[in-house]
Amino acid sequence: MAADSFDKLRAEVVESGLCTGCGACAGLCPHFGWYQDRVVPLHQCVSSSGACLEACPRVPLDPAALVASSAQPEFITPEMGPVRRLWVTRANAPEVRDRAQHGGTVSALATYALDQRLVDAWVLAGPDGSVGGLPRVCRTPAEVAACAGTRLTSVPMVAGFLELAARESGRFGVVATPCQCLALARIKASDNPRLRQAADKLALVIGLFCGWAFDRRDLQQALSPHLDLAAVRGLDIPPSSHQSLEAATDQGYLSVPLDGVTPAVRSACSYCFDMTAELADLSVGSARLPQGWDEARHWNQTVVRSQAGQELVDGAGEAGVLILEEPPDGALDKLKAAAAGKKRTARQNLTELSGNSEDLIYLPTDFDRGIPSPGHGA
Amino acid sequence: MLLMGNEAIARGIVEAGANIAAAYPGNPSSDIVDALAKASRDLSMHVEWSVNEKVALEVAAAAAMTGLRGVAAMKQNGLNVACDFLLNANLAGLRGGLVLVVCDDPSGISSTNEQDTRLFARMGELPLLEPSNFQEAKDMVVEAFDLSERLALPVILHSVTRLSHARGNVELGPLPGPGPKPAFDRSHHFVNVPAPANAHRRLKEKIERCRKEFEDSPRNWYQGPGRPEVMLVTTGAGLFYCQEGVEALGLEDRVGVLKVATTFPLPERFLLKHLAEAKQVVVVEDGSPFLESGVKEFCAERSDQLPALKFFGKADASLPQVGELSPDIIMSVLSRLLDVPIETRPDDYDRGIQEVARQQVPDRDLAFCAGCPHRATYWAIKEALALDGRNGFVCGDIGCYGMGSGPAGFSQMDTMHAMGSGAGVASGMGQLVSMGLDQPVVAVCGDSTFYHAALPALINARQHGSNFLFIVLDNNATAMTGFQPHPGLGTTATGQPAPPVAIEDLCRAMGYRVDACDPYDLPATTHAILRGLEQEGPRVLILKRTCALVAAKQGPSATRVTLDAERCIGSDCGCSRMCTSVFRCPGLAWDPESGTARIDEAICTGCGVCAQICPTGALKVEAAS
Repeated sequence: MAADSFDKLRAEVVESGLCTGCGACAGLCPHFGWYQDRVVPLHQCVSSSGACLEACPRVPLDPAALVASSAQPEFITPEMGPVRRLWVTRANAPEVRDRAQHGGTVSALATYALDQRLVDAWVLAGPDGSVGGLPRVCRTPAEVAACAGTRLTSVPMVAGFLELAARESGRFGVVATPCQCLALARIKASDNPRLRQAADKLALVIGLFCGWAFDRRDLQQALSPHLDLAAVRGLDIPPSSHQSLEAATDQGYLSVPLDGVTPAVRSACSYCFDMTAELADLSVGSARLPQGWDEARHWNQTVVRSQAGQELVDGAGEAGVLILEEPPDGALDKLKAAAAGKKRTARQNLTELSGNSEDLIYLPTDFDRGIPSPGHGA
Repeated sequence: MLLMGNEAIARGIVEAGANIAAAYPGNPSSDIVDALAKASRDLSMHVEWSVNEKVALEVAAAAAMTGLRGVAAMKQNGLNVACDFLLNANLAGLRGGLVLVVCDDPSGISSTNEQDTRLFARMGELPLLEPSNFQEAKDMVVEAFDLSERLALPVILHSVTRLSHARGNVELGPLPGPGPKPAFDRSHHFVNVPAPANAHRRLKEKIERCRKEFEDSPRNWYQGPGRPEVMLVTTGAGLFYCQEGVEALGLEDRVGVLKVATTFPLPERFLLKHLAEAKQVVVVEDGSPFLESGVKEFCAERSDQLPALKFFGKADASLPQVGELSPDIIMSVLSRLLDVPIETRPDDYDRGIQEVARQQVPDRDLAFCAGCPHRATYWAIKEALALDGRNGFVCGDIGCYGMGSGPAGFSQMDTMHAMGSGAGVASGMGQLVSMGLDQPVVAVCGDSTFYHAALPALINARQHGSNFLFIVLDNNATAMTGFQPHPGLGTTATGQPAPPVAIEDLCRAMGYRVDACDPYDLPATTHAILRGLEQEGPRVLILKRTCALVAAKQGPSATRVTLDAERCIGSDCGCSRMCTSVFRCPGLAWDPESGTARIDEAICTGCGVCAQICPTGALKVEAAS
């Protein structure tokens, strides 16, 4: 007899350590709840096929099929989903860049979209006074600016969006991590009326590149010997060669060795295949430039994926709010290689979890079909 | 006059001219001081609800050290609390009269345990009286005081639910005249040291004198044929069961009933005289085989003066060893021993009843009242512990909120022992962090429980740096036992104003950080608990909201709750009947025809907590017109 949706999510997603904290289930139903970076089953539900099961990004699904159903085939890459164009970008306005994690691209695009009434509001991850974040509804440039900066722990953005969609009519945008983009894409592709009513209000999704998130509690524990958490203004992870986590404090930047904090990585992230947020209208991450990190840290890489994403980026470029530059040679190949690397890691970790290379738990065994295997001796 | 057993006891206390009556509420004893408090306007007696049973007994004993009469009443657990004093007062003696009325709850119908307090009489070597009917319940109180004064010893009067809470006819006696003025005689110390063994010797002499008095007590008697085939030896409420059983089977010619009211020390000549006529003896008593052991011990000592007797009772499981007795049980034993066929309940009748019950009688769990703040509190605790994610657990305590261990409180209470044990156990749990306990520890404690017993444990926790969140469920009432006043309420048993002793002041004085919240505000309470779980060090969260029954007496609700059936999605995904099948306030009902919830207006108190759980806003709080 099929287990009920609630029991399935509790056992196969939450208790098995796969839950990314996207908040889809909690945003749909009071039987689930969220707090900080945790999404938890709260009260037993006996529905046999709930909307929660249809939205969750960690139940058995086929991401490549989802990409194929929503993107033009000529743009789809096996390593990193649809790629119409890769740009190196940054916000034109210095005050936007000053507040930003890196290039301020997301802030600039979000503000532009509000100005152009492409959306009525954004759901963005704002600061929570500590190492985490909260989903915030942003309707003005000032509210967007207040959410600038990276949150290094999961923020249940899909709950934030669904709660907004349940309360208001309008057109909304979400800035989301890859797992959250996957949940949003499932919601958009669904014909469940409960999910449709929210999907119809989802106008834009800006995805964020993501390697992994920290577990909030573990991060606090790992950082507190090094830092006074109350004095931290921002956190960043420079390129992996730096092997460090950087904290911006009132006294300037402080480096913490990465191996002191990597045990604090959220366990669910080990099973993620998506580095570049393949199921978004466009995706933004930090740049890699030949000049090195000191220059690259002030720029973004932006992958344009959909028609709506292209219109937004091109429009922002033409309006002069976003600076668009050609990426350096080989940048796309480097990005693809990194993305493929994450897929390989996901396969390894899922195989270890299931104990069976034919069982990737929530992914089909050919989820990474089409990626050429790495060269021998490479 | 038709009186409840406890009312008869209260009347006996008045007729005996008691000067102090003190108690802590506890079923089945609460009605005694409830009745005295109501009558106190017309009495010169000091009547009080004490903060706990030990203090109640001490307060009553004061009268008995100054030439006056004092009485303390309590349930079985209360005697556990008071026994340290009792087991010193027995040696220290008295100058006056002290009666301890203890009411046990066989089967533990409304208790945390099932326990027979008569063993304290044996342990403390104190006279024990067990009335068997309502007239005796009154008259034996007066006799108990007289005995206590003669022996200069506390006397225990024992009752059980079936006597305390049943009703019967009682002829009232005269009211007393004025009594002596109290005076403390400094030449008579009530001190057992430096040689308690000497005091113990004196106690043994008193008990021997008591035994001689009991030999002639008219409260012990035999009813039945000479040389009965079966002799039922019984005490207390056991007499009801024996008399009913014998009569129902028509065995008056074959079965005799030996009633013993003075069950410690046993009246030996009396027993010898009647047991000499017996063959088969069935000892019938609620609780432990107390009388049974005493009689068997006596028979062993006098074996040369008695025929070989065959004993039946609890030791050989002829009678059930746990739970209350009943006439049916006595009839089954007699039927077996005397080969008298009886079917107390035909098998198919039994089966028929089960079938009807299964089909037509709804499951009725223990439930909190509509509007009870504890329902909201346990909902918030459940959500907060789940959202905290570290498998936190709850050390609980006694009161209405004790139902938190079951479905009423979403099974959120994990330990419950004695009054104040929640704080005590949490004080220990909070030390296990250093040994690797990575689960947050929570304790819950009611307002009355707090004053009764939590303070020493809280001081202990503070001193030893124990890490737990202490949540006080302050509903401004001692609700479970019938709304007796406690020190926080600013009033006494007799309705006099009293300076309130505030819980938050006590906590702050002990060095605790104190926060407060209204449990009716679910998000605020859930967040307050989450924050409390994240904090370290000594901290208290007081959840303050008056008991719904108390509030209802104070006046109509300012708010009412309505349900908009158009917005209700009932059993659909996204709700799945959260309010009626998960939250389960009795003010909410399910309407299968419309497939929506509805408000039961006769029960709903308008508290509005359900409206905070409803995912669609179908439940709405409005100002009551």
